[in-house]
Amino acid sequence: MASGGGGTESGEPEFQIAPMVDVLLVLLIFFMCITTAEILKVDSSITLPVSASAKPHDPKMSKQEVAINVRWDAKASKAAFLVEDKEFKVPAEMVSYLISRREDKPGTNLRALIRGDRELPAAEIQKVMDIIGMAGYTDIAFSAASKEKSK
Amino acid sequence: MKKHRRKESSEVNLGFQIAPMVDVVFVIMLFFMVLAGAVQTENTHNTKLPGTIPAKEDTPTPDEIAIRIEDDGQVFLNDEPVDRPAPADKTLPELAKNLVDLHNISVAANSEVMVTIYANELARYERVIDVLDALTRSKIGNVTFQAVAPE
Repeated sequence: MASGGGGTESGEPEFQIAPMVDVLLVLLIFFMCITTAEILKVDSSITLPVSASAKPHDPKMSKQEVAINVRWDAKASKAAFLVEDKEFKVPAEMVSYLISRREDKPGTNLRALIRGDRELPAAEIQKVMDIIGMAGYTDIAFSAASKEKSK
Repeated sequence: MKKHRRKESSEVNLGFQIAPMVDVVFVIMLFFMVLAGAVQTENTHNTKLPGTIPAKEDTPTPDEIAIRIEDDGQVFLNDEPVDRPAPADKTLPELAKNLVDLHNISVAANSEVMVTIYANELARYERVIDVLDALTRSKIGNVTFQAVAPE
């Protein structure tokens, strides 16, 4: 009789392990989902600048985006440009690649997403913007991290 | 002695043990909970390249504001220095306050504020993002970039 409500014959409440496991598993799956879905998928050699007020990046836009990663080698004082994992030694060579990427998807308004290292000189970003303009892209997004990376 | 040992092995319960499972699930859940708090997400500042948006005929001339970023991270608003150079004032409170005032004035006057960012060649990209962050906070959307600082 009393066992139905989780109690013993004497009326003392009893700890039920099965519902606790249920709750724990649900919580576990919840935390697993939010951490894996939102984790930053960015070139590990780039430290993004922090901007808390910027809009969160829409994952739906990923298909309409061309990511341009700009690394910064502080020792050599040299920037490295990567468009979707393809490295370009000379930035001007990116133009034809960006044009071909745009022509692959006619009708969609492709957006160029600039992921630049925080140490980059502004001139390098200016160069990239210039190239994006030459390739005929109208939308540009500057990528930033939501907060400082915890150590 | 032998008999006792045999009896012990036959009594070993190989069934499902709920208590160690709860322990493990609890540890995994704690791990994901801690990770969820520190997770870094990607934010973006979206902009359009100038000259690509068709202008309406009766577009009023917006009030133009120049923000200059020096190599040391000192920010100038219309040639007036605001805030301390980076990294002291990362959030640029003075600039943001001035921009909010300008935005409110322009809303009252039914005009638009247009901001041009003149970043010096060696100014850090992080500082440019700081300025963009301050502009986002003050709800100013018309931003253009210029490569060289004005004379």
